[in-house]
Amino acid sequence: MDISSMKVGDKAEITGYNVTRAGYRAKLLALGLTRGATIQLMGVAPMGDPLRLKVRGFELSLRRSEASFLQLKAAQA
Amino acid sequence: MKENKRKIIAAVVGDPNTGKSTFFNAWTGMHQVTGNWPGVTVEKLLGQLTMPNGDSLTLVDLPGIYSLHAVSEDERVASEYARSAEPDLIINVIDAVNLERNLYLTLALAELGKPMVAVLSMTDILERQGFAVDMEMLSKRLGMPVVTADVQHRTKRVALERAIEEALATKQQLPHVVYPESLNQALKQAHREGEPEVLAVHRLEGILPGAETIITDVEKALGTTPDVLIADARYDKIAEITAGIVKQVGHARTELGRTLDKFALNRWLGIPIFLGMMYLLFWFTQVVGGCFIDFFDGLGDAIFVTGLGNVLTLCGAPEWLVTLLADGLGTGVQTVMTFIPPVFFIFLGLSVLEDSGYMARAAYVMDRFMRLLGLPGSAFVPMLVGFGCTVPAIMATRTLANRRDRLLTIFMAPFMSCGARLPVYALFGAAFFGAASGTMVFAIYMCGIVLAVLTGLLLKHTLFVGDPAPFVMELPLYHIPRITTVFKQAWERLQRFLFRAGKVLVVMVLLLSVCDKIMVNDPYAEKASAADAEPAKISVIELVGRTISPVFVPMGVERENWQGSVALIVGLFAKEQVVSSLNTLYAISNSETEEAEKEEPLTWASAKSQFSEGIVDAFATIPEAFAGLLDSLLDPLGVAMFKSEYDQALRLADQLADPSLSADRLVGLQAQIDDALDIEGLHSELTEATATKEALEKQVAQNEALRPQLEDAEASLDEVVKRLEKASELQGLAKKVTSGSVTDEAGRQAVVKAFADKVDAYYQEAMSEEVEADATLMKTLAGKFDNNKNRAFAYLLFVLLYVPCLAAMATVVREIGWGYSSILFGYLTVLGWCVATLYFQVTTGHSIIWVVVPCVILALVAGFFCALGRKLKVKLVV
Repeated sequence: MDISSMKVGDKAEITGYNVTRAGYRAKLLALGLTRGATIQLMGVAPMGDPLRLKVRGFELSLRRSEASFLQLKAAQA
Repeated sequence: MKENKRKIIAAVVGDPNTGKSTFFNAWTGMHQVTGNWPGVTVEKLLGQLTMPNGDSLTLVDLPGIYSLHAVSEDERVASEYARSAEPDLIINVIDAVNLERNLYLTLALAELGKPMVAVLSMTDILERQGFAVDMEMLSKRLGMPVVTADVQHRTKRVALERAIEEALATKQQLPHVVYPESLNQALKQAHREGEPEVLAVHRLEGILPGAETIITDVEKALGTTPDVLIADARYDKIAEITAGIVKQVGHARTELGRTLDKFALNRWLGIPIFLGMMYLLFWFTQVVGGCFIDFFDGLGDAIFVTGLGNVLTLCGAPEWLVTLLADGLGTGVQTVMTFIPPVFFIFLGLSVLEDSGYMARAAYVMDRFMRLLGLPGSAFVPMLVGFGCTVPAIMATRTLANRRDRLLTIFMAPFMSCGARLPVYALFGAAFFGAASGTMVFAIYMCGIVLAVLTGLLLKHTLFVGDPAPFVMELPLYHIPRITTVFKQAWERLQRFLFRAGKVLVVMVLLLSVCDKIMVNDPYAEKASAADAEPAKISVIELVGRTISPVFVPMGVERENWQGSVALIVGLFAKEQVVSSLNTLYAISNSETEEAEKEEPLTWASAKSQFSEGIVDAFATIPEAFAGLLDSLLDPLGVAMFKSEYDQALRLADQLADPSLSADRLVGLQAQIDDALDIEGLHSELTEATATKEALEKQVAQNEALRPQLEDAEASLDEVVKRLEKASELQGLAKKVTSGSVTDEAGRQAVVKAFADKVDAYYQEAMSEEVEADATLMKTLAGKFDNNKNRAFAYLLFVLLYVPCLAAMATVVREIGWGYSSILFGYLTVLGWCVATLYFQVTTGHSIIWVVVPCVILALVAGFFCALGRKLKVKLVV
């Protein structure tokens, strides 16, 4: 599942990562987007991008294209 | 005993948005030293404290980081310093609300093996959410003392100091992350003899180089890169540490932040709210900050230019020294001073936006739009500030973490037409465009924006190639900004501007002012005034301007209009000076210079009174400016610029209609009205002007050459008489009521009405006179520009685009160094010339050569950027 197919309010679990720049991955890992962590889509910016996610109790903003490197599986809301 | 005192260095490390600065400021208070990290523009903040036992403690405040893996410049500074041998102790600020995520950094720091103290911040916010951290258990599990960040309380400060002593005195049992067995082999391979084991972990994480093949091997064998496994292991450990540590202690209160975000991040309201916030920031910087500009300008002049000049002259210093120090150095200092208000206020505004948490949301809202230019959303803020003044705009790029983004934004900011350019447009608009001048000004602004976008696109594909930094932005909880933190931050940043950009600016202004004051023989005037024994003199600036004037011919500034090119050079001081410079050069009467010539001989007493007058005048500008603040709220662009000088008297006269006024009050009112009309001042002016005229009359009898001066004196006497007549007439009207000759209601009303009508008539008269005076300038201007709108527009395009004023240039140099600055200044000037030339030639000149030449030049510039970009690529991309 890709992040773009999530609707506002949906939750998903991170299962793995596609290839991306090492620095970007390191940052997201440090922010707690590790495998098994649950993310929730909280909102979309006025022009349709970036996205607002909730992970480990705080909110984070990522661009659609860049965040699509997360491999996800749907989790119950 | 003294030898036993230790010198302890502690690094203060934490995630961004943890309230680290607040903690640092509360702890160190006044004992702060600022500096810069070597080789980078990241600010370095130190705190100097003494421990209760006499040890000295140096605190190094590091930029916020989420992990030791650095991407941006300031992250690299923080990570490298934390990993270096210098700090004896690490003080880790942990946001209690985001405990899990913050402990990730804590575990990475713990691996470094240095003594550690954890400082828990935001505990009050967590409590408001109905939770509390069990600090004792956390301390046990982390193996380090844990204290709270509210060190403004004495007991908490003592606890922190005790924790530091304890951490240094005991062998700490810091948490140890157990990495999966599958990584053991790789960790062994990455390890080098005699090194701490942690370096092997850093290599596998990619923080240190040298394990690239091992990383690929792991990826092949395990299907995932080692950094993912390392992060997994750390978060597993965090889960262990945090289990049962946050306890519910009460009920959560409703979250205001959630509600605010419903509006601020709303799909429809997000952008309007953002624009509203930007308007507020703009208004705050330009209008509220602007209230202090005249004050600093006047103060700087009174002390450093006029004051210093007078003192030097009285001390018998040679003229060249007075010119150098007062007109050169003094003007430089004065120029720096006028930028104190806008720079301080923009930083104040930005600090509030950052501290409150809105800045991250602004970046979120605008990111999609700015990405068209390859910039993050937060780059929008400096661009907007640029419409006010380029200097704070460039300073505002500091909020961008990535160097490439900062450079690109700084390259685009000068295209936003600043407030100082507006008077130039206004003058040309009135002279050439008449009713269409509004449209013309709008067109100029749009040209700036379009060229900024084109420049952005060009640079994105040439000079600053490479992908923009990925966008990862935490949306922190909203906070009410702390006034002390915000002011302190703004003050620190202002100091940096003053001492760094200020240094460059003073030197630049010094050079230019000296060029303006040094007079040389005028080589162009020889033919015209060959009969005169004494050759005409012009300043070096004029000479240079006249010499380079052929360069401007292709863009429509003909050689006979050399004044146009000289004004452009004077415009380097500040763009609005193009107007006053044209005024002087077109030899239209300039009352200021005349007044200066009439000065009495300088004595210590006159210098002293001049000085105190200057200071008093400077202070008087503040209340005056604030009085106009309300008007500006309704009229931010200053459309209703003209105000009647009789306004105050008119307001007072309105009260005359009130029948309940006591006799005493009436007398008082009359005195106030007289004051407002400046009757006394006009009388003394009249005496003075009469004396001057009479003295000149006598002199003219002996020396006919003085006749022009006499004519001037007569003219100014006439003017004073006229003003006095008007004021007396108004005074007489008011007296009818205050003296008691008119007492009935209808009579009072009639007087008030007559007063208002008279003021209105005088105002109209004054307006038309003003227009007449300007009309002479406009007529000359129009003549010099061949009555050609396109010529004028081409000139304005160049004014818009060529190098910004000295202050902006100095700021750019300070921020990005001489290398990139030279490229920017060169680019702006060349682009300005090419655009202006193209515009003029296509619309009016119709010379094929001069259409081709700019196109070729622009192509060459693009090629140059392309080549340079390839060379620099390595340095920019991280």
